[in-house]
Amino acid sequence: MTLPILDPSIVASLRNLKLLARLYPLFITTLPGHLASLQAAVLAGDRPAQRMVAHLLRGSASQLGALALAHAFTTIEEAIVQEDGRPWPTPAELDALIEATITAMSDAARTPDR
Amino acid sequence: MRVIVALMRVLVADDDPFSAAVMEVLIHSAGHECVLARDGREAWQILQTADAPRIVFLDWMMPEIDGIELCRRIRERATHEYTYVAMLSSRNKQRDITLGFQSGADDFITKPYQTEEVLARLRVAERLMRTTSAGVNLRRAIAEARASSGGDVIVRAEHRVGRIIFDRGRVAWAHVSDEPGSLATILAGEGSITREEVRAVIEECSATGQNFVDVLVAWELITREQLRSVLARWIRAKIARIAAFAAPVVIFSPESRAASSGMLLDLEEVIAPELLQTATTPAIASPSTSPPANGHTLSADLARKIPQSLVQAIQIDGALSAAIFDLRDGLCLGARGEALDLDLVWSKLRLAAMSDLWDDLEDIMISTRQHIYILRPYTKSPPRSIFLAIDRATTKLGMVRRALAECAIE
Repeated sequence: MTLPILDPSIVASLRNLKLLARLYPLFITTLPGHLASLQAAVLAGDRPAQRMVAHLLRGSASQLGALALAHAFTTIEEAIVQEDGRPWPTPAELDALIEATITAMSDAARTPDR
Repeated sequence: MRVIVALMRVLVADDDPFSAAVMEVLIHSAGHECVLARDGREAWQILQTADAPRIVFLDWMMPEIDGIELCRRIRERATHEYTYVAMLSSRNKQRDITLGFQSGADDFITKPYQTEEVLARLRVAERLMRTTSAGVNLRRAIAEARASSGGDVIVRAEHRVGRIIFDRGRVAWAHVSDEPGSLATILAGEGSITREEVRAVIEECSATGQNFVDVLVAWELITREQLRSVLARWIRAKIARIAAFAAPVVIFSPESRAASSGMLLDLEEVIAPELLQTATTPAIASPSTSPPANGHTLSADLARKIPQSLVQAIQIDGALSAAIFDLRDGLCLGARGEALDLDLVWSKLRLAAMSDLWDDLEDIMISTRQHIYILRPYTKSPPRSIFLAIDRATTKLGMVRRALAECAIE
């Protein structure tokens, strides 16, 4: 099952709250930093830090309606928590998702909040 | 008359700026002040302050101190006023929710937030805090004090005692036992009057027997209007703190005494509007001509049906009072029989309003020493409930339940 990139009901809700134009650009600009933190925690073998960053990314993506990306971060967080060796999304999959999410968010943010 | 806006301060502790931003906008839209903390430690520091928010939304996973630990700490503070805690989390498994409640949370909200749901839950928190505070009894005591020639409304929660001094239906002073507060201190703290001047005024009063306020004004240290404004601000803050005492004993003690400040303030200047309303059954207007004030419009059919249902319900053998409530916000749509304490009834209905109990239950009965209360769905969508108070001595409970079922629309 392929999840939609953005959840239209959450996009509408953020637009009604006049938050879309503010939060989407902020997410897009802060995402690389969080991903770098996740990578650094992985390289350091710091599982609590990995989980904290993965959880934050999951929560942010989910709150902004980035369904597919939130699902990917959920998979990563659960893999860290369970320590059962389940596979993370591959870097290529994650890159593709991030790119699609950024494109969708940029398009959505271009339409001004009501 | 000065209008006091009934704002509450609401704390949101969340390291995710996006969730925090959504919560902040929602809390503002509900008319409250939002205080943000980026981690558990910052939230804990805010909760130590004298005017700490009493409704808090805690993210489960956040740096320094997580929401679960923070909630436990809040619950361990036996001497503090009750704090309503809602846990926020994207963890939505049953065991996570259970753990959240076990840590002492009053509510659990899963992310991503649904706007209407968060607002509804915020309203529940607000209502509950007003109910669990001195609210109901304090309102009664204030109403009694207002109608009297004078006396003290005394509010005691453990070792803290709050006192609101009334004189001829107006407020003269308010005091909390463990907080400083003489008129001299307040004025000296205002900056425009020095401690030396205050001391000189006190000496003059002692020597001449004049009123403190009169001397202050006569010496042109402050105008009457300025003094009134300073006093109103001070007393209003004190009364707000007294009203926030958790599980207090409240009494009105009639007595004749000289006013502490020599200046009397109207109740509307210093007491929040919700404490000035009396908690009794509203007069029953015809719903067809007076739709509920909260915007819930009744259909013409329902507007006709509600009074009929109430008449039918109050005629049930042993019935003392009957009422119909909108479960979304506790609005009483009509009542018959003995006067009802709406806060008390709503505090019972609230549980039903917060859950999906109605899906499985026909009715809910609550027994007290004198009464049995029966709640039954009246309409399912939107959720409304019919409420019946019956005499405890009634033996035909089965018949009463069946008769009440016939009053419902469902």
